[in-house]
Amino acid sequence: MADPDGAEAVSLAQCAESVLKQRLEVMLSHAARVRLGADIEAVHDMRVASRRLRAAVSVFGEQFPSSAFVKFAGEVRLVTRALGTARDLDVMIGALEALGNAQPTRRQAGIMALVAAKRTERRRQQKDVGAALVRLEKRDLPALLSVISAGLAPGPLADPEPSEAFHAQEATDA
Amino acid sequence: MPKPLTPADDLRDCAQGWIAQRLSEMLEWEPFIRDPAYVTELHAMRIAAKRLRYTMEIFAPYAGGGLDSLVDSVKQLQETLGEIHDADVLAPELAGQARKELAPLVTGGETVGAAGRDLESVVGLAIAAAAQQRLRKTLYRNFVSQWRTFRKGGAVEILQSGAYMLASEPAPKKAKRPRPAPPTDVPAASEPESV
Repeated sequence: MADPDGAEAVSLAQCAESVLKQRLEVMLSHAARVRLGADIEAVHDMRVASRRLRAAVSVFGEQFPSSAFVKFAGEVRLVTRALGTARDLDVMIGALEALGNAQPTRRQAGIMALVAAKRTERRRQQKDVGAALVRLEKRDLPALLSVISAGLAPGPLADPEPSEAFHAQEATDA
Repeated sequence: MPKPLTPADDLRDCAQGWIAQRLSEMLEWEPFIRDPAYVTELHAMRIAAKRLRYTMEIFAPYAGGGLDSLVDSVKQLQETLGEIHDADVLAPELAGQARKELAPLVTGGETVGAAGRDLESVVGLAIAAAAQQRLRKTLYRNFVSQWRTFRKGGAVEILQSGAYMLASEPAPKKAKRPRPAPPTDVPAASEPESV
């Protein structure tokens, strides 16, 4: 395989490291906007980025047979969950508001009561999102990934069958 | 943009293995497409489609463009399934709220009478729920159509076989003389139709 400049071959392990690093950076780049709590698109962007990172974690997990990598994967999963719940509520609130606004005023009260209930739920969830971001910062995933990469050695091909640990994580995330 | 993978690449094997696996996970839910009432199964298919898409996106830069239209097709399937799921979540939420609004009237009976509740708000909730049902029917028809196009276009076979790797052979180190570019491994007729 050629590197991004097409100059020389890179191994599967090097590609794995590169993809994980790039996807982690993208995910973390959205954290500041999410922390502010004012921009629902920031939550969406970070959630999508975390999902993409998780996909890479699944694909390349066998390249990193270490407890540090399992920890890394677990941290990504936690933040994905917190963001996912928040995003689902944002989508629902937006859809309900649109449905309510499509009704004549006299028929809006029930839908708007539901919107209010979902907004309360969303505010609570923002606390979970904030806690997940604090945890993410404390865990310092870029440093953790560096530690994982430092122990990386070219080896046999990864079995495309994901490990039991990743299966378990994905099943709970569905 | 990285060069396309060759048969000697570890990464190529990895890509083909994982894409084929994620595809098979999505195809597990295909039998449930025939009936719109399989709400949970269609949601599971959406999650599987998302995993397939994200896995394809990892390897797309190395596939010489051979995965790009396939990624778009899977994304469209995933998004339509997502909209179906949104309707499946919203309709019960609206119905549940209507039940809450009606509960005092039902339990209070004649002591509440017709004076106690604003039933117009319940009508609003019911109309919105019905709108979600209609939208869901339309989205389901769209999805079935998109799936047929996906299938007829040979996308499944291409993803299973790894034929999306457009440059399947390593380039010769020394070309004796210039010659026209060979045809790609994936004939145009095998490309999935745009959906």
